[in-house]
Amino acid sequence: MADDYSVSRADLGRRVWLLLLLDGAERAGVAPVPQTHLHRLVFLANALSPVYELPVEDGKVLKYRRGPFYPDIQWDLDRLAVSGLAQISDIQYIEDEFGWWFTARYGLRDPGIRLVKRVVGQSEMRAAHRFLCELMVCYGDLPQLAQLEAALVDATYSDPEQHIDDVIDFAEWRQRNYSVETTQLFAKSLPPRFELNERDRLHLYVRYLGRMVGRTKVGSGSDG
Amino acid sequence: MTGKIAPPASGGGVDLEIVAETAIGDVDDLPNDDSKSPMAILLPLTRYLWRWIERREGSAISDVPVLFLFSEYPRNDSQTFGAIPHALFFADPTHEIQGRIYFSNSQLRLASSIEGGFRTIDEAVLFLKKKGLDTRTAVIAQPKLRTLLWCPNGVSDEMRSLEFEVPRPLADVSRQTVDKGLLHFHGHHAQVPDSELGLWHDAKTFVPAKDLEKLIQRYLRIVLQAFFREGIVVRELNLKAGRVDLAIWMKLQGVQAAACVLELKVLKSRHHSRVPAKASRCSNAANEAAIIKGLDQVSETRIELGSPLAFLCCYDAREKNDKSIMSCISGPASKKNVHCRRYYMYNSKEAYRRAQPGSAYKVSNRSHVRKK
Repeated sequence: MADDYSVSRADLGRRVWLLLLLDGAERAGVAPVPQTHLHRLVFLANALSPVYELPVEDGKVLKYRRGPFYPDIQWDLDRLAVSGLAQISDIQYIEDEFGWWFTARYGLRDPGIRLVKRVVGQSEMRAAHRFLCELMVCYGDLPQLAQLEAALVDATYSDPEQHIDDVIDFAEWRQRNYSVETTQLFAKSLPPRFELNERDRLHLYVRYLGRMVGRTKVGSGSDG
Repeated sequence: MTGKIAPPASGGGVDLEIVAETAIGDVDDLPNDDSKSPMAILLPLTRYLWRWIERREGSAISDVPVLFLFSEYPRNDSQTFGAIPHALFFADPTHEIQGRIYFSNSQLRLASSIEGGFRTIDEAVLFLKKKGLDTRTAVIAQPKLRTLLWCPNGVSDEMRSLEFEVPRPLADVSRQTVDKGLLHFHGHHAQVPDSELGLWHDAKTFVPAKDLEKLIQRYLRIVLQAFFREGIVVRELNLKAGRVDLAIWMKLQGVQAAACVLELKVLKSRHHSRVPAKASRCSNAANEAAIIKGLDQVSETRIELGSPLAFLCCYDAREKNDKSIMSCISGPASKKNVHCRRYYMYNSKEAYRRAQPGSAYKVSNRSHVRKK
């Protein structure tokens, strides 16, 4: 039987979403993004997209010992790189306490940039792009260590009830998206009537993660 | 881990002390626009330039300008133009910026620069034209004059550029300092037509721009935010009493509190219309009603926010510069402790010059009358 090389709509949608994320990274000046960072950013983007009232692209993640990791996203990243839309660089194979691992950095190539420009003509893509660009800017503002470990101290990911190798599901169990709930807490520390918009809440939340990393000892993989 | 780990509602890992610390510590440093908006560069640039000038106070600053080009893709620009990267550019006012061209995103966090070798704005513009960069959103800063020239469509589009003075930051919010900010905005941006701000649709026939109040609100916010560097200027705050156009928050004894609320009103002779000749008249009664409504609004929002200061700012785009219209609220305004201001918007530079005391134009007109 021949291999099935067809790409589903869901795969296409995910790849376009990934291109938007990489575009945000390029604009924020944080590209090329190390692979570990990228998977963690994908997690944060999924966890925080409801702040901008956007659908969650993938609301399930394995609480992996190396931090959030998405096999499907990795597959897509490699396909995007092979197709010339994404750029892959600094490929390395490393062995650490968890075994062998592959690391690389990802950015966007000119054809990818051109494709994004066409895609953001659609309103729903434009909304997702706006959110992802803003997230990347917040992330780019963090010190380097905090960039790597921000996802690990995220309110949903660091939920003490979730253990390594558990699947964290914040899509079907929406009440378990503690990240979004936390973004709503900032206003409580400010004077009554002081309003925070979605952008303010996103920026404050990412800065909160930065402060958390500064005070918390977290274990993580690194491919800086 | 520090602080109390507590669930936001029903679970999760969140440190409430750090949530509070972040909210209080970082709220006055949030961006005022989406990162993709080229306009977002203005505020960080104003703040950067002022810090840069402060560091050099007492020493001579040369006339040489510096150019900032909005860069959608900083990495590409850096590679294409062989520019030197500066990580966290915003945080370092020690750079020797004059005579250089910076490629930067709107936050000034990542910038890269090349030597321009120019001494004047004209030379800088020529340099950009040669490099094919003259259609990029640009800001030309002249540190000596403390001015920014914002060119959203690039330096070649002279018709759409905005000159913006970098104000000396003010530490406190008082009637005098708010007045200073308001006068600055009026004097520099609203008193005579400014092609970039586009406050007029057709100045000649006194037809204001569409949504003039919103336009003023947007630009005034940038000016006030530049003045009150330690504060936060919030636009369109929704309150029980209604929506307040602008509110200035300052940290008082470590706590953010509303220090001033501002309600903006536009007085006009004609309503906006795409076709100026078809613009309908706006009666004096309608303008008076707007003023009275504005006074009530700002008074109620001031009470709701507990703000010590309240301003009603009327931008007067009518044909006749007549201050008597404000008399309809003079009594109630002082009772409600609201400072009312009227800022006349001349429809041309000539009209403004004509109106100045001792204007040659006026004198010649008078002599003409006498001859008659």
